[in-house]
Amino acid sequence: MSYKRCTSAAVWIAGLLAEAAAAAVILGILSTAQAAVPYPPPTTWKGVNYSPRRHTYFRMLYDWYSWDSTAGKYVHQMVDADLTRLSQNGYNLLHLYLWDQELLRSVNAAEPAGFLSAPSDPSGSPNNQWGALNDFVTKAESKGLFVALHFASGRFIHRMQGNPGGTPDQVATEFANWTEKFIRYLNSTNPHNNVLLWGLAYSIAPVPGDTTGDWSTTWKLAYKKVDDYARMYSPHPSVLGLIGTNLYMDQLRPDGQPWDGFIYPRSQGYTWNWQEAQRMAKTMRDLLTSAYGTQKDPDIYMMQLYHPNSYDLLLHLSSLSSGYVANGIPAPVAKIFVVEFATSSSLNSPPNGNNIPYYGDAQTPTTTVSGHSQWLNNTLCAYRSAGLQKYAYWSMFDPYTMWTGSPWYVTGQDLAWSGFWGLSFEPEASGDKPSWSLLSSFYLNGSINCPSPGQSNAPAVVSLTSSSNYYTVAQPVRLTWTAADVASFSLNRGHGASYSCSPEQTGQVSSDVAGSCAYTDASAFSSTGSQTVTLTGYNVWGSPQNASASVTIGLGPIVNAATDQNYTYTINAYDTIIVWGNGFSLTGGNTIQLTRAGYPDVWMYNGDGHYFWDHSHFQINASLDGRAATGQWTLYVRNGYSGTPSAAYTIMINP
Amino acid sequence: MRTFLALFLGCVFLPVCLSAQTGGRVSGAILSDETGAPIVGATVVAVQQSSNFGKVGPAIFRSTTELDGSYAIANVPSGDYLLCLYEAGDYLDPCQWGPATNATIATGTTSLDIRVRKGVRLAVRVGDAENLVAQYKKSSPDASAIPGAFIRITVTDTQGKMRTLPLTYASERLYEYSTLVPPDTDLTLNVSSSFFMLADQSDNPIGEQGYSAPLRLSIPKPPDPRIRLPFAFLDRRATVIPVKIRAAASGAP
Repeated sequence: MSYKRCTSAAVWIAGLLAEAAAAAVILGILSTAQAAVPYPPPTTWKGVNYSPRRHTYFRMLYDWYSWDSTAGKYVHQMVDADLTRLSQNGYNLLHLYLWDQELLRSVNAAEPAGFLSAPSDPSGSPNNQWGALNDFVTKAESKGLFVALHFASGRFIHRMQGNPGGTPDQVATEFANWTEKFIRYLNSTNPHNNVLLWGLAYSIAPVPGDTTGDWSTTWKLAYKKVDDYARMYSPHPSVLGLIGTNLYMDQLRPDGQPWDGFIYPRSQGYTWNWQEAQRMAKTMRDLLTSAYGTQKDPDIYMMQLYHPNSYDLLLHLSSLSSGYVANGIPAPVAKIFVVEFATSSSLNSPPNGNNIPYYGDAQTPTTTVSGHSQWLNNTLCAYRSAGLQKYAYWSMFDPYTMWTGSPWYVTGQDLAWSGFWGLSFEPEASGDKPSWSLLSSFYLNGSINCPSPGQSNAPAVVSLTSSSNYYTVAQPVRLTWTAADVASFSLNRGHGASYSCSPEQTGQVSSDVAGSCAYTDASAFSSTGSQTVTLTGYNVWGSPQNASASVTIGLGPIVNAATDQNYTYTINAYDTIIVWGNGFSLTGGNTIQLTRAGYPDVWMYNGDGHYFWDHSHFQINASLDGRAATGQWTLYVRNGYSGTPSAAYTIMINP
Repeated sequence: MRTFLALFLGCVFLPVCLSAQTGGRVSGAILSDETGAPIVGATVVAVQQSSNFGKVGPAIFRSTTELDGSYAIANVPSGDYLLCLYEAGDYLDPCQWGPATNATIATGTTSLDIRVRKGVRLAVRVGDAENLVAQYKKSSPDASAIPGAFIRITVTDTQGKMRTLPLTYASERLYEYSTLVPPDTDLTLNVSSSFFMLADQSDNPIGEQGYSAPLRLSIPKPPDPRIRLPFAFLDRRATVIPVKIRAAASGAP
C-alpha cells in the first residue's frame, strides 16, 4: 500500500500509524518465525510429557481456563511460561496423551476430565478442552516445540474387547472418525506446522503372529484410516503428522514367563522379550503391507521403557534393533520413540515424596532425589549407546496433588510410584530436581557423564529404609531397599531371606538380598541405643554404592496413647481399644496386659477369640468385649521379642 | 543366616523358653485353599491357649514359611495352641476370619497343614482438603499422640463381630484405613466421626450418626493381557471407598 498520494495531514498521519502497525506486524511475524518449528523437523526428539504444576495428566486441558491461586496465574499462562522454559533448555517435543472420558472413567467414574468419547464429537468436551488443545498446540508452535499427540481411547479399547462389539471395520471406522476430528482441527481448521506425530491408540497393538484375527485386523484398519486422515490434512505428509504405534517389549520373569507385576531377583540379568517385540513388528509389517499394497512398516514405534537396570535394558534394545528371530524383524532405532521413561523420587517427606520405597513398571524402583537423577543419567547413557534419538521423559512435574485429591485419593505405595516422577517438584518453592538440570544439559548440548568402560559400570542406585525408627532388643529390624543398576548386594548385618516390597506378593525373592524393591529382616540388636545398618549395591562391573538406615533400639515397646474406636480417651467396657505407639511387632505375637489390684490380669492377643489386629509397628486394635471391669487399669504391651513390657500406661474403663 | 533363623524358630518368650527344652514340635505347610499353592514367606505364630496366664502371658512362637510353604516350630511346651498367620499377602489370618486352627502339642511332632482363604482388601480413604485434622491436632494437645483422622471406620459381620479398620496410611490431607476381608461375605461398613462432618464422594453429607451400608466384595478378575490399561494398578490393590472431611463437627470434643 502507498501513502504518497495522501493529501491531508490527517490521512498522512493515519498512514504513518498504519505503516507503523504494519511494521509491528512484520516484526511480530519475524519474531514468531525465529521461534517457529524448523522444517524439516530434527531427527533427535528431545521430549517430555508435559502438563503444568497441580494440573497434571488429563487435567491440563480441563483446567486450562481456570485460575491457579497458588501460581497467581491462569493455567494457560502457567503453560506459556513453562513452554518458554522448555524451549530455552533444549527441548523440542511435547508428548501429550489425548484421553477420552471412557478411559478415565473406567478407572474412576468421578473423574471429570477427558474428551467426549466416540461416537460423540470431541469438540463438545467439557470445559472447552477442545479449544484448550488448540491453544496448547499454538503455544508450543510459537515456542518452537513440536507435539506428539497420542490418542488414548477407552471407547476403542472396550470395543476391541467386544464391549460393545462390531466388525473390525466398524470398530476401526468409529475410532478413526473420532481421530479425524482432532487431525482436521489441528491441521486444517487451525493449520499448525508442529504436529509431528499422531500416536495411534494407547495400549493397543496387534497380536504377534496373527494377521487375520479381529484384534489384529482392527488395528490394521485403524492404522490405515488414521494415516489416511493424517496425510490428507498434513501440511507436509510423511514428514509431519507421522503415525506412531505402540510396540511392546515386555519384561520377562527369570523363568521366561511374562512378567506379572511382581519383584524377582535379577538372576543372570533382567530380560525383556525382544523376540516377541520383533515378531510384533513383523506382524505390523504384514498387516500394513496387506492394507497398503506395498511393503509398509509403521512410521514410528512408540515404546515405554521402564527398567531396574540400564545395562540389561541396553542389551535388549540392541537385540531389538539388530538381533534376529524367526518371524520377526528388527525395529530400527531411528523409528523408536520412547514415549515414557521415568522413575519416582518417593523417598522424601511430603509434599516432595511420601517416604515409601516401592516400584512400578518393569520393576523400576522408586528412589531418592539424587537416585532419581542417577537413574536418569544411566538411562540416557543406555539410550545413547543403543543409538536411540527420540524420547520424552515422563514427566515434567510431580503429579502428587492430582493423585491425592478428589476423586483419586491415591495413597501409600501406589502414590510412591505414581506421585513423584517429575523433573521438578510440585510446589514452586521446592524448585527443580537435579534431574531437570541433567536432562536440560543433555538436551541443550549433549552433555552427560556416561560410565567408563561401559554401561556395565553404570553407578548403582540404592536406598535403604527401615519400617520404623524404633525397635526393641531381640526384635528383628525390617529393612526395605530399592535398587537400580545393581547386580548384587551385601548387608553389613545378619539377615533373613528377602521378600518383595509388594504386599500382595507371597513368595521369597531370594534366600539372600536381591530384587529392585524388597525387604529383609536384619538380625536383632542386643544392646540399646542408636544403630546403623548399611546396604551395599554392586553394579554389573562390581563397583559399590552404599545406603544406610539408622534406628533406635530400646528395651520394650512404647505406648503413646490408648483410645476407643472413636479416637477418644473415653473407653467403654465393650469398645475396641486402640493402642498407639512404636516397637510393636509386624509379625504378630504382641500382647496387651491389663492389670489392676484385686483383679486377675486381662491378656489380649491374636488368637484369644476376640478381635485383635496387630500387623503394625504403631497400632494394635483389640476388642475389650467386657473383659475388663469398670475402673482404672494399667496397660502394658509386649512385642513377643524382648520380654520387656512397655512402660505402664493408665486407662479408665467406663461402663 | 542360620543364626538369624534360630531367632525366629526358637523361643521368643524367655520364661517359657527355659522350660521348653523338652517340648514338642509342630510343623506342616500353609497352602492356598483354592489352588493348593504354597504361601511363602508368611509368619506362622503359635499362641498358647490357657484360662490363666498369670503374670507371664501366653507363650508365643514364630516361624517363617519356606519356598514350599512349610513351617516348623520346635521346643514348644505341651499344651493347646492356636496358629495365626501374618504377612501372607492377601490371605486371611484364620485367627481372625476362621476357621481357627487349633494344635494340641505334646512330645514329638504334630503335623498340621493349614489351608487359608484369599481375602479382598477394603480401603476407606479420607480426603481432608482443608487440612482440618492438622488444625484440630494443633488445638488439642491430647490429640497429638493419636495418628490418623479421628474417624471411626468399622466392618461388622453377620454374627455382630465388629472390627475397627486400622490406619494404614497418613499424610496431610489424606488418610487410609484398610483391612483384608473375606470375599463374597455379607458385612456392614460404618463410617462416622465425633470430630468432623463427613461427606461421600459426591459431596453428599454423612449425618452425625454416620454412614452405614451393606458390603459384599469379590476377588477382582485378572486383567485382559492384551491391553495395558493405564492406572490399572490403582484398582488392583483394593476396593476403595472415598470419604471427605467437610468441616469440624459443631460439638467436637
